[in-house]
Amino acid sequence: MSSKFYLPSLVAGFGAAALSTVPGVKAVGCCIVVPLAVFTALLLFRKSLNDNQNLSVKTSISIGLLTGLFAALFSTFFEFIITLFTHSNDFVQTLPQTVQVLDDLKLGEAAKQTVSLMNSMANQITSTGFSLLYTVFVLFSNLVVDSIFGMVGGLLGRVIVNRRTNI
Amino acid sequence: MIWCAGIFSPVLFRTAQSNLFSDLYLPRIYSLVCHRDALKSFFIEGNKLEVCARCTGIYAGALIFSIVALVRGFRMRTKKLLYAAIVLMAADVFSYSVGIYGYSKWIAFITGLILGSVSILYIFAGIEEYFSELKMSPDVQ
Repeated sequence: MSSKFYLPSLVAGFGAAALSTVPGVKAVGCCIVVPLAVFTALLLFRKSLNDNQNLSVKTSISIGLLTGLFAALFSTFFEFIITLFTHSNDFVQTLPQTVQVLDDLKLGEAAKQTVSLMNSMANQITSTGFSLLYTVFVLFSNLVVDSIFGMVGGLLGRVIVNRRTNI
Repeated sequence: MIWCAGIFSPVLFRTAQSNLFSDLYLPRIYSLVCHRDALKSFFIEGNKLEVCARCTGIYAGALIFSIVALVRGFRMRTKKLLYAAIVLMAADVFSYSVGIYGYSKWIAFITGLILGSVSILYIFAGIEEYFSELKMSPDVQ
């Protein structure tokens, strides 16, 4: 695979992950951060081609998927690093409310096991700054969601990036 | 449709027995794509939807127009509609961010609904074109 293909995705994915760690960006950007990153990647890729050829759907979706995957990997890495240094994250901070909700629901044995598991993860995070289970969960959910939004961003970004409209 | 069902799950499945998936995992999944700020979210009979008003609009619009497009078969021949929808939403975000007017859930919902409705038509067009590309040549750049 040519570097022309994956470098724009790498740069844009890194940018999206970095933006997602900035407090307040998510409140404004919401679900458009990854699609915007894909749009940037498509622009960069098109510039690197040095011709006026329209991007195919296959190429756009591939760049979108790749950008989403890079964004997921980098955002998981950033969360891992921040958690490692601060020994805290959103999960630990909201755990008391989550446990309260679960207690109110009176779910029985299943809830007890889940609460115990969550407490164990939170204890690991507060003591060592790392929980393998939590990191795997975050990585998996980021990979699924970001890759889907990346491909959607690829389809939409292509419409804007291509000069000649053949939609 | 599944994604939208998840958004409305606090309302749709409130009579069913609560479970860990709907009370713990779904909020976590939707928090990846939305800030889920209670002040910017709709409540139906006291139950907060899983995403904010704008995202609710985007996904509801996408769902409604995907059904409409499947039945009617819309063809998008211009980019202007997509640009207009993006500008409309950006104008709303900019306006309330700089304080021209306060945040309105309904304006956010409507601008989201328009963008979601328009976007899904372009996404459908892209998918259709992808299959055409596959038929014509498997290695088209």
